[in-house]
Amino acid sequence: MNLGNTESALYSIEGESVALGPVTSDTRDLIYRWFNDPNVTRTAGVGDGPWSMERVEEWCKRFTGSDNEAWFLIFERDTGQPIGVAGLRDIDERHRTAEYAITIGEGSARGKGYGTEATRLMLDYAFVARGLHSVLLDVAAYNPGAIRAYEKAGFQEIGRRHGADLSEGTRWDTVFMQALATGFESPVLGAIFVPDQPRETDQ
Amino acid sequence: MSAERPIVNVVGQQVALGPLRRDLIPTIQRWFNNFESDRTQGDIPGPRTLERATAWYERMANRDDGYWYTIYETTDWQPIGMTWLADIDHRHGTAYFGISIGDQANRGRGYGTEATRLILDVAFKQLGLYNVALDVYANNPGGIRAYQKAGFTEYGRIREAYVSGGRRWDVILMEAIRPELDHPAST
Repeated sequence: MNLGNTESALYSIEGESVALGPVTSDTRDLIYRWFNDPNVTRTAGVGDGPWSMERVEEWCKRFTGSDNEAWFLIFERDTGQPIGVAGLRDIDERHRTAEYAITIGEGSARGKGYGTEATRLMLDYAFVARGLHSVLLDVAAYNPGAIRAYEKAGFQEIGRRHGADLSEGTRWDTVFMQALATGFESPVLGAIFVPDQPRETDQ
Repeated sequence: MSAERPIVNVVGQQVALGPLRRDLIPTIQRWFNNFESDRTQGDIPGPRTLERATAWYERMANRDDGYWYTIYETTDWQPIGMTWLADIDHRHGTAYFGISIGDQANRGRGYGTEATRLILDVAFKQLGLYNVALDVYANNPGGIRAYQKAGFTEYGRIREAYVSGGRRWDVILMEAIRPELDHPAST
């Protein structure tokens, strides 16, 4: 695996601390490690059974095979180390809506604001690059750290489905959060997705 | 016009619920071509062939993660629509509810409200689920009222997330919770 090598990391969207890029052939090995870590699956919403490599490969098909999903690998920008994945699912071009999901797989990358910035960059991608109007997510109420990060990134709580998540013997609410394109301030892509200016040679 | 009573699973006052039936595929096709249904179901209005209705039937008639019912009115035992529990999740005790009254003439008569009550009875008493949720669009106040009467309450609103008739509408999230206490031992 090419970890810690910025030359091998291809960045599509570069923030201050993290960058987003396409998945690589190594990604399945990362997912295999991350999804078998209970610290990750406790909040990732991917279930908590064992993940065989075959199951991982099936899951990873979403990275390459679907028009209504868009997944990025999250890198620590300065080192090029992959730290997680973030994606838009159920992209609906008619209603211009999508759902958002993110997993920080590397334990050492948590608590540094990386998830918040990656989420902000994903909203930039959704609203500016894809022209979507609304992005929705759901998160378990036992994960207040994520809820705070989503709020900082631009999501607002819009509802709570009561007791719909049974975890560790307790019923928790499922919290729904939404971000709208209206009023979104683009951190990166707004400077790229602009009309061309007339060139001097055209005049 | 009194038809023979079909096989049904749940019988209420005005309506009853029974399994989907292959011989009703042409009726389902007629319902699928009703744009009034598309407006509230969220399907893109368009022509629906018999092949497409048949393919839908094949998918829905034999599922483990959902229960699809035909709704009958109990006077003449005519099929008037469909209702379903989808994404039944026994680990968390959750499911999604949906309903479609096929013909405009059968709307506004309380059929939908009673069918919704009956299916909540299935969800809570028969399956032991805890939380049944639905999505309804803000352009469908009749549906919202029927769901409230049947026991659903609004728990959230996705702003401007549904396009119909050239404008944006909110998506209203509603839930119904199993009436008994979760742990009878704690009473």
